[in-house]
Amino acid sequence: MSQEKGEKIRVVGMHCATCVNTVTKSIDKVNGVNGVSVNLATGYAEIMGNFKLNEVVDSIRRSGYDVESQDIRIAVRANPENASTILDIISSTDGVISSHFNPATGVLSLKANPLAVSPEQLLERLKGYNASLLESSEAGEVSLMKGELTSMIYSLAVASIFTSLALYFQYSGYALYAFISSVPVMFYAGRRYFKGAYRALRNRTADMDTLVALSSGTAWVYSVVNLLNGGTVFFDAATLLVTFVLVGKTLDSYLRFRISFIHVPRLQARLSTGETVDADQVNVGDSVIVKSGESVPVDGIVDDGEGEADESVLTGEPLPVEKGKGSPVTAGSSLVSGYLKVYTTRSGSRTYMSQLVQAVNDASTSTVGLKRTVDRITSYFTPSIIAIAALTFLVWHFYVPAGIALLFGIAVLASACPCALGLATPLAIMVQVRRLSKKGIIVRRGDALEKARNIRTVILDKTGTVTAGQLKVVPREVIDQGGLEMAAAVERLSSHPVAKAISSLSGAEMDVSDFTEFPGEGVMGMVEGHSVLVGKKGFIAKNCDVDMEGDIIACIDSRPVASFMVKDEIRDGMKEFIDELKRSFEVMIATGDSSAFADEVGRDLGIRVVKGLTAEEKAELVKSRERAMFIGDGVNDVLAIKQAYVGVSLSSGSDMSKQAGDVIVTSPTAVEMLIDGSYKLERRIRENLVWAFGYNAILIPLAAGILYPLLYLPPQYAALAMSLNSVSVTLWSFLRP
Amino acid sequence: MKKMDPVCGMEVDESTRYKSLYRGKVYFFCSANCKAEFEMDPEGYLRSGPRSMPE
Repeated sequence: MSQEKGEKIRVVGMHCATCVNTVTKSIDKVNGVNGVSVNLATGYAEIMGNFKLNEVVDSIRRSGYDVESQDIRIAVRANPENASTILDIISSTDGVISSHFNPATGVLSLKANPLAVSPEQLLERLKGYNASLLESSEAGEVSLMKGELTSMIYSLAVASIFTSLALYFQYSGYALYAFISSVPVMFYAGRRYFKGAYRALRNRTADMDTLVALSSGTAWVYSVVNLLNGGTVFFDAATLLVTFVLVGKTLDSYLRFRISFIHVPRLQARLSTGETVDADQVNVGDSVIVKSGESVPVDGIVDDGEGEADESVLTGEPLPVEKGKGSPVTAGSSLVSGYLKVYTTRSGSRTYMSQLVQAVNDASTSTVGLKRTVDRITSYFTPSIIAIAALTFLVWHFYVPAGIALLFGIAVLASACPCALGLATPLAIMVQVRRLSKKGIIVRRGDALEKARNIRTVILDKTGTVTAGQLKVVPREVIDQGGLEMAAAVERLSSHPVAKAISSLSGAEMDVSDFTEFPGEGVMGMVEGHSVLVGKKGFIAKNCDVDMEGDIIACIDSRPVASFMVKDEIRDGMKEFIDELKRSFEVMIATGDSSAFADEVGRDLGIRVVKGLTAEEKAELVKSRERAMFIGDGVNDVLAIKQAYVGVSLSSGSDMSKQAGDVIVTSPTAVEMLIDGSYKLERRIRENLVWAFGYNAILIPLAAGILYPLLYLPPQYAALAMSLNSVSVTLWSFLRP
Repeated sequence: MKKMDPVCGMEVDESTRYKSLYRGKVYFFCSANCKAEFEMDPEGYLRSGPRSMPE
């Protein structure tokens, strides 16, 4: 992307001219932007310059707006070692905001600007990779891999039958019949390798298909020529080679198919009307009945009934959790005992469970650092193998008949396996992501898992993160008991947790008129002809002469009558967790709360507290620290979570903060497991790579005949050993504890 | 009921979540941005009225 370009995007969420200004500024400050015009009426922004679209989108999102984007999923038929080529093609396409390619499933998922690029144009860019559009994400992927597996099994069946025939005829001396039997093996069963080799050639690269096609093709062509001249034929080697490669690849496809997906169970929901429907047909607001022993089909709130739910699928917590009126329930958990009537808040693919499954299936590998090195090595791998094979043939043809020398060369081609190198990293990530998900840690971005072990600082939000988020309000100073009752009456009309706590301080019934709520600040209303104002000290101070200490102040007719302290409890296990973190990292609390309670929490835990921060100031603090991890749960943590080197959000937090988090945990203390998982991941990647390289390093010299005649690896066995390399990497990844 | 945003001059509904209490009077805004602008300098906006659309 070197030349100047113009791109049009649609910005979502602009209300007025101030918004236009903010968006314009946010786009303008992106590297490479030369000009921008934002239209409030249409929501379109036209940007000129030589810029990266994802940086523009990030900057707009950081300023609090969003950009219309389209999720596109494309099935790509490519070998794992081609992953970076495919990503390069896609990310250099105008209009692509972000892209991931999972070589293990062959699915490319991307976000694109629908105004700049269409799915068809993307398919056009990927011509030569047999790309096709996937409809619904999960079902599409499963059927894709199933189709791949079925076609492999067919090819393998054809190859096995005709290879047996070819072997029988060749060893019985009927070379012509051996030739005839070899044709379906080479050109039906083995066609995928020849096609792949042709595709690689057109893209000016070489991959595993090239090696298989070259080795089996050379053996076959050589045999055909000799058949005409009456020389030795190797139809056995050519056909066995294709068959053995297919054996390994089919096994590998099968294993990857079995382990690549966590399936969302298909649940049925019984509506309170008596109807039974598929769980994804339930609408928000519908009442659903769950009986003992059944799975909860939707996310929602218990409206009636009580029982015990097993939520281990989601939280990893083995003990059943008590559920009663008002408790939240989550799809995928099961009711151990009791009876619940659930008010649906989310269903189908919007449930926490579905999102979790999608995230885990998606956790992909495109930006993992180690993988880049591996991709570079892989791109030299295949050409080097071809060179080694040619050299092997040249050296041997001085010592043995040309036919035998050729077999050595072919064996080298057949023994080298770039696939295992390509699979080493994604498989390790997939396994770690899956293992962590079983413990309730949802890794939404594979690279965050890799980065977690490099963090230097841990910054925690206070309310709801360090503390349990269950507020307690304690009166501090009460000048006028009647005033307190009026304040409680007004607070009764608000649903804010602090307001609820204050309203519970008095049982007096009073009529409230002209009620107004200022979200996050306070409430106002008229009681018995008096104007009552209750809220945060800063908010009240602008409208009433406050001369008392406290977090919350109540004012009647501009005269303060009572003040309250807001307290919260530190979560269980938090002290031990922080002590553990302090050994390796700088730890601090960043909170919007400016009350004395914030300092108290810091004193109790023995860490620094930065208090009274706005959402932007939290993000600034995170930015100022090197490689900081931020853990938070609220809407005011979103910016900080996004800004962090690794952003962690709590599953109990707001939807917005969960959207922002690289990782979602059920409790902040789970971060220890995340960091541990990150170290494990790095070890696994290295192990897989050492295994894959080591396997090649032993096999190639053997195939080249270094130990000949002591130990000799004919091409077909070299091929079998090669194809088992990726099988072994796959198995090793999954079986290792 | 429609009210005027004192920062950008737009008409806003009273049901908006963006509002501010200043000297006992409630002001309504179209967005968090306008509310923040107002709270930085309420006197300024009340004196000179909404600023015109920026270029």
